[in-house]
Amino acid sequence: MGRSRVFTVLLGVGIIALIASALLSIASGPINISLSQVVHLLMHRDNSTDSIIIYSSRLPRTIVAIFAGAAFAVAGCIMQAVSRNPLACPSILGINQGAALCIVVMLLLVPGITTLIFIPIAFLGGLIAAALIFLITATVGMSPLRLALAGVTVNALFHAISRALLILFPNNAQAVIFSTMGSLGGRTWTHVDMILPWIAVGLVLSVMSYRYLNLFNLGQEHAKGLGLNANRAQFVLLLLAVVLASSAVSVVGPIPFVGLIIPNAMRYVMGANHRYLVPLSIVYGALLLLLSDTLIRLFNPVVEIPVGIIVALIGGPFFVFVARTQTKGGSA
Amino acid sequence: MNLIKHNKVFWLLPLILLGLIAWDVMTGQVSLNWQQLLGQAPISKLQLIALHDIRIPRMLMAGLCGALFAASGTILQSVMRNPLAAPDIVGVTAGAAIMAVAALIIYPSLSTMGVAWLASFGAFLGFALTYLLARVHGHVSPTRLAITGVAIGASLLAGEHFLLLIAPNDIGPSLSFIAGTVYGVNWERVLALLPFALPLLLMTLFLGKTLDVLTLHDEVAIGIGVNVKRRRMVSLLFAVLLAGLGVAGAGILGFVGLIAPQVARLLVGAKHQVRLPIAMLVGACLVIAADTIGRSLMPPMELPAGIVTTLIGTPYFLGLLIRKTDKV
Repeated sequence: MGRSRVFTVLLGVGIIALIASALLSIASGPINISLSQVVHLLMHRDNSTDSIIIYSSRLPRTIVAIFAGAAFAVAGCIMQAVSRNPLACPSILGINQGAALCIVVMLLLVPGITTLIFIPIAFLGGLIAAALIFLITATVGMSPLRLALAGVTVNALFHAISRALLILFPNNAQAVIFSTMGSLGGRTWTHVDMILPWIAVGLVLSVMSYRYLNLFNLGQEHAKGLGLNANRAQFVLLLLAVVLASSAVSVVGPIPFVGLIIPNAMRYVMGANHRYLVPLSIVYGALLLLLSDTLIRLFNPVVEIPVGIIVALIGGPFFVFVARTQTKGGSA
Repeated sequence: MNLIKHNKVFWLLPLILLGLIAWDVMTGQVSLNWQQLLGQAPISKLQLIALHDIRIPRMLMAGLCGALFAASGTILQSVMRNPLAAPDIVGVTAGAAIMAVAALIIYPSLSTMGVAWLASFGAFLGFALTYLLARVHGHVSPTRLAITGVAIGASLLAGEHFLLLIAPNDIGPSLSFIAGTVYGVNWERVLALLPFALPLLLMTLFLGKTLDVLTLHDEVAIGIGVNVKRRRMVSLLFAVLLAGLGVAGAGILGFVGLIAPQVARLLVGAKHQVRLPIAMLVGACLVIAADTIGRSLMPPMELPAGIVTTLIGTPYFLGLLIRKTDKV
């Protein structure tokens, strides 16, 4: 089977699975709604309780999950391409934590601030983290170890700052959410409106820039040889990744590892051509987050486990696996 | 020349430690002044209780655990031949934390000391897991050990969060010590730790030569007739025991095991016979200072010492990463 056939099949399967999980996600919760009823109500909205539940809470939550999952996955995909390092992902490098920390700080300084400026603030935090990582790796390039250590440290720093702030300024529930691993509970249309423009535009740009992403597969020297300003491309693509990740963080909190799991798994199946990798990351990143969130509600509809923790449980061992394969062979 | 420099450090550092100890025990809700501390002014009953029952055991625990983490970090940095190694990185602290949480969920009525011992057992398990997963074809490269440790740390952290979520609410207070704090330490806890910690610290001082050898390349070390594998194992065991005891005493004091050995190296160079004791002193200074800072920032709120050490340690570590252009 040719690459493009595999791609078509994977994409098709992914989209079907995504639609199925979306329906399941809308159907499940403290009040279960049958799937046929869900489909019916999505076609013909009425004034029944079920309809109100679907349109006021389940549907926006599902949409947020899809967009946030896609954003995290594509952000990871871009960062891995640009750094040529499979361990690069917004959570390991501290981008997510940086974005979350800035929101915490803002919430503590200006309580009750409009959610509209969440995204710019989160972006600022993501940028700070990215700048730190860039400083660390600029001089000698990124060995996997260096990247991992830098990420751990940046994460520890941000985590300690937000812990300290929450101890010194207690009683800010909204801030607490952003200092945990992220959740999808209680997301509404406000949140959808908040992230939709940023993430939608970001995703389209990512899909379009596959040629640039592919050039990094060759190494920076080759990229230069082909007349590409590698540094500028790297910078712009990283900005794009930070925008995607921090937009997602600003509504769902720092959900870890989506950007590690999905692009690596897709690359394993598809190879490193970003023409395929980026769209697949979008679909499967959305699927991972949505499915995790749905399964949690299926198993325990009353007490909600934040989705970030579940994704972290899957992602942690995956991280171990990638780290192991990265350093195989000798003492490199 | 070098020797004179060493001499200066050898009397200056204990002096700094003494100063920090004094600052530590004078600070708090019931504060003391210099005259009272030196016995030249009368001391009230309340002050005496605060000093004897709360501040002194607390200060001793802070110093002791600082030294334990520092010694552990010194060993790890030399064994892994990596100036950036630390117990925070090889799965030790993460293993301790998740074990403490698990123990409290199963056994909510466990005493603090019980949790502490289980936590240090968890430290050992966390490291064992890291070590085994980092082994490829019977060989554990230092780099792989470190990177696997980071990944294991992330996994265990996720597990810990999950456990915390399903945990009953009332175990919160017993868990607070995991964040790395000496809050609420009493003589009982100090005396429970001391008989293990003190001999171990003293024994560690004799590891100096071994660590010097392990810093060399394997070929060189084998060439001068040393069983590298066994010495490395023994040293690692020491490192894990030290960190485990440290966790048992004061929870996870972030980045102390990283900074203290670094500072010691800057002060007295890489020879481990000198570097080890100096690192212990620096570690003690660091944690005592961190605890005092944590208490005096916004009283009566207290920042756990572990958070303060992390806040001090991470920027230092980042600076290190930025400047170190040759290694790692």
